Amino acid sequence: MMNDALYWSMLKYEGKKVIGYSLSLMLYEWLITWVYPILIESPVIEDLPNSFPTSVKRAFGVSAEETDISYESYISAQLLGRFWTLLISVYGISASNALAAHMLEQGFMAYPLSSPVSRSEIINTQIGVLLTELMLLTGATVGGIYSATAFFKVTIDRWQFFRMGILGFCLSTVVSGYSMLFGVSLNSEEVSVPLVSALTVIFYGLDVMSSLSERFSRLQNVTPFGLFRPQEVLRGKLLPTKECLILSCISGICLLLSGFVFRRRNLAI
Amino acid sequence: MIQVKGLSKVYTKVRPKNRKAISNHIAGLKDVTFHVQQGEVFGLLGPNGAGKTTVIRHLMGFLKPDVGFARIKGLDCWEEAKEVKAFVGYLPGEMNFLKEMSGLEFLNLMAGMHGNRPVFSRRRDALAERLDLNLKQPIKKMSKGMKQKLGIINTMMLDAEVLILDEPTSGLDPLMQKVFIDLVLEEKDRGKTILISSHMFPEIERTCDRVGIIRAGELAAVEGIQKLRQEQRRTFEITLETPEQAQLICESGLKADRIGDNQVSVEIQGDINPLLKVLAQVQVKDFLQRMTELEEAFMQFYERGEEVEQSIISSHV
Repeated sequence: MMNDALYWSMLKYEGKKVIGYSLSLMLYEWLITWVYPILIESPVIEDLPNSFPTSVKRAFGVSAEETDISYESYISAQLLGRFWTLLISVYGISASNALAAHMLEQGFMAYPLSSPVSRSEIINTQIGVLLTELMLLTGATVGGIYSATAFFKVTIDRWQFFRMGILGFCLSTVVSGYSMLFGVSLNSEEVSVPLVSALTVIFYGLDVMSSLSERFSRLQNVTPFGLFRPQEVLRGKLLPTKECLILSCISGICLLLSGFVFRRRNLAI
Repeated sequence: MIQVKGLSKVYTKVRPKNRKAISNHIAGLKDVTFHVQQGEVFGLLGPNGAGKTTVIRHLMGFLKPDVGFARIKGLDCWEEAKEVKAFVGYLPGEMNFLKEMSGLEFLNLMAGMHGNRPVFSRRRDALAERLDLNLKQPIKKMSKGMKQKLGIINTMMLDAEVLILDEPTSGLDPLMQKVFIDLVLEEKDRGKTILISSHMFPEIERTCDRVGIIRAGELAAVEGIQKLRQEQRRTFEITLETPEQAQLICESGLKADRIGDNQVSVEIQGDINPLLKVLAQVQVKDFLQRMTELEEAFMQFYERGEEVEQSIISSHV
């Protein structure tokens, strides 16, 4: 159960941020898609990936086995492989902090809590707003790729990008989920935000390390980022059902725990 | 209507700075008991950190009592928090709004969360006019006083049966303090039950029927305002025409002290008529009550408490 008035008000409060991030992402996608047809016509483009070590290519989502100049490989390297995962993580931390920890510490939460709306409804609404924002952001990412490739006449398999979008959304809910849990459990956003940021950097670092060398490849099993392999999804090598389910389970547990903690906590607001 | 019984709360420091400290517990409230009748205005009076806001947080269901309970209309404020808030209007002690909103957006949100009854918008507009606040103004451009007015409009527009007001006039200018006191008196006439926490004596004195004096988490006394006025001592500083007249007052049998050549300080317990009879025989240049009646009563309770504490410390040493 959610509260309508709070949902729309919070969505408006977060609106500028989600629109800003989405438009910037779409603009970036249009720019790199505009450059793509010019790049693939260049005679040196096929040799360019070979000049990088295999580990670096893997880390940035470029196929290591063969020279791949497909749009899928290109956008993985330019956006989805690293930059986008970092961006949706930062966004998830920022949004969950704004909707929970900040409102608790700053004291605004006293007003919704003084209304005849239960704590469960309030935290469900905040989680609902958070998931809507993440959906809008991943929707804008996929939508930006669809529109840019249609405009610049680049042929893509839209279903693969749709699958990648769902997997990205699931990953962002995990980061937002544990961010929300820390936010409602700790007394101060000054404590929760650095903690969550550090944890995310560790998870991200483990994923980068696992990509750089075969010796560290097992590290991808201990980080949620290890389940996000956009290049494999986009090339049709991986149907990400299992990965989506695992990520959804982790985020579901974090969000359920957030709700439980918020319902029972003493709130000095 | 409001019932608080044996309410105790101990705050635990998560990371005590002094690891050698015997206890890392801080008492927030100790066995606080009082009740507020329907239609009554009850004041919680105490300095900062005495526990007024902690009592209110229990009434709003933000904190769970360690011992005891807080109930409004027979409903437990922690277990049945949602139901309790259907008939409570709350003004927090700190005005922490989201700066990105306008006053109107905030009030629309709160009206929506309370079920959007038509009476809300009528009362909201009337209150905004009375308190002279432009609701379309963004909150980030509002002064502290303007934010306080916005909080008061939010609390009063809901037309709730019970009003819980934490430091309601903080940040208001004297003119708006008067408007606020008039608003409280009007709500009282309409049969509302009101609990006000404050350390400002005039607003409590003018609005409340009874006062609870809270000190270091304990309720030192609950007294009717009239009784407090009648029973408590009052101190007057009187400036007379000549030193002889000052001497006359000192020798009149009143509890009087010379504080200047022609100035005396007179302490009166209860009836003021003996002082007036003596003053009729002299020429008074200036007549000043040192503190309000309530302020005097409040100070007495505090002095008594400190004396008790001192005697406990002495007996242990």
